Amino acid sequence: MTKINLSKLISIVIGLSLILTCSAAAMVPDNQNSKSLLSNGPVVTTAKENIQKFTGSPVDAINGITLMKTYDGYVYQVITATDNVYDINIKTGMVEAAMIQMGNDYSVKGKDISSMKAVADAFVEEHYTNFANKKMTLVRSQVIDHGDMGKEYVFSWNAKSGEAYTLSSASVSFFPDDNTLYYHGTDRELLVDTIPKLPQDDAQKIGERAFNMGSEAETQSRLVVIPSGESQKLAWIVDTVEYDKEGIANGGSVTVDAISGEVLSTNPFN
Amino acid sequence: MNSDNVFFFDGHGGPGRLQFSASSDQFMTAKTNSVYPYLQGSNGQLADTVLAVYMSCNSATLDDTYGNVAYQSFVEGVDMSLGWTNTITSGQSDYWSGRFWYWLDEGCSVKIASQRATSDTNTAYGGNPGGMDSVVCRSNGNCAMTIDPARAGV
Repeated sequence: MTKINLSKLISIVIGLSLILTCSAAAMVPDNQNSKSLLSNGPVVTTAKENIQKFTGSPVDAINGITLMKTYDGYVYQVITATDNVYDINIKTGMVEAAMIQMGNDYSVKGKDISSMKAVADAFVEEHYTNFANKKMTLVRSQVIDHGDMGKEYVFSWNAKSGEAYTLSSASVSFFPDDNTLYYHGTDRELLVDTIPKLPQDDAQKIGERAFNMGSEAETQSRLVVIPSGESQKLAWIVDTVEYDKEGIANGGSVTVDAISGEVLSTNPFN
Repeated sequence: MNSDNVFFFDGHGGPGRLQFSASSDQFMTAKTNSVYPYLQGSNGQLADTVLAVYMSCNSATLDDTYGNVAYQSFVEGVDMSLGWTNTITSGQSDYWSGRFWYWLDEGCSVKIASQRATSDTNTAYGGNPGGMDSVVCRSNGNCAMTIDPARAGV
């Protein structure tokens, strides 16, 4: 068997990438930041105030601010002089993501996972304003091995209404090798009833049909609240996968309206 | 790929293999085999590559027959090879890659750019990273090198 012709490979890859990028472009948020807003004094001042509310201490100099689109709005993405990054919801002023160097209060170096969980609990209870009121439940506690980038320890919470996962969630990830912490927290008022009209089994069949899945498909689903303009919808997220004889995963994720049964979006595997 | 410093694949794949045709079974595999072209034993063709990103499902997952794409790429001389150990969805992967190149362009190391791209994907997709959080880097160090400024020919 001959070895691969790498020059030929490059042209194939570039072509394939362009095709996939173009076909997927309509279904994803814009992944580019806006121009710098660093010269916008009021935005800088407000950003500093919001970060100070989150951290509880004065903000060091800001090196960059850009606008970034999210699934339900926009955030200012702020980079400080000490290279911490904060995503601030432009409507609420809440810090909804933070990528920060851990101070002594939240250092997890040398700690086991149960001790890290305690640190994560303390962090999220301090920084997610409505954590206790929302009755957040732990939905994920996981160690992810990133190879030579080290290990990540992830703890995630979600507020539920009945069986539905709402838009209020939080997560804390530690990278002990780098002494860094990543936080995400969104707090959204629940605007819809969370009792589905579409049974789960029917939703899974609709999801499987969306990807023309075969008899070997493995399918699971969860009931979620999703943003819909200024309102919300109740939906089933159906994840379905089937491997072909070469081990390639077919299928993906389908969002099905839990009231009408309409397929709202599909997100195939790469 | 002698003079290329960065290689980026965006498409279908599975453990130990990348797919190069939408409708047929044309693959490139990590390890030597009798059916498909392969990476193993590339005789230094990849040695000048500083970063290779294999953005496909399970590109960092080991297959007993075909090997592990990200790992084999590193063995063949790529300084830093990125792959994934899970299935990844096209929406999140497209978003992730845009953010990853953005952070690299801002001067971040591959490691930090990867972490921040995953965080941004979580923000953009309401906490659903679509498998992108299963990213793995294989390198001699800890993937802390930058690619900006470019180091072509160094």
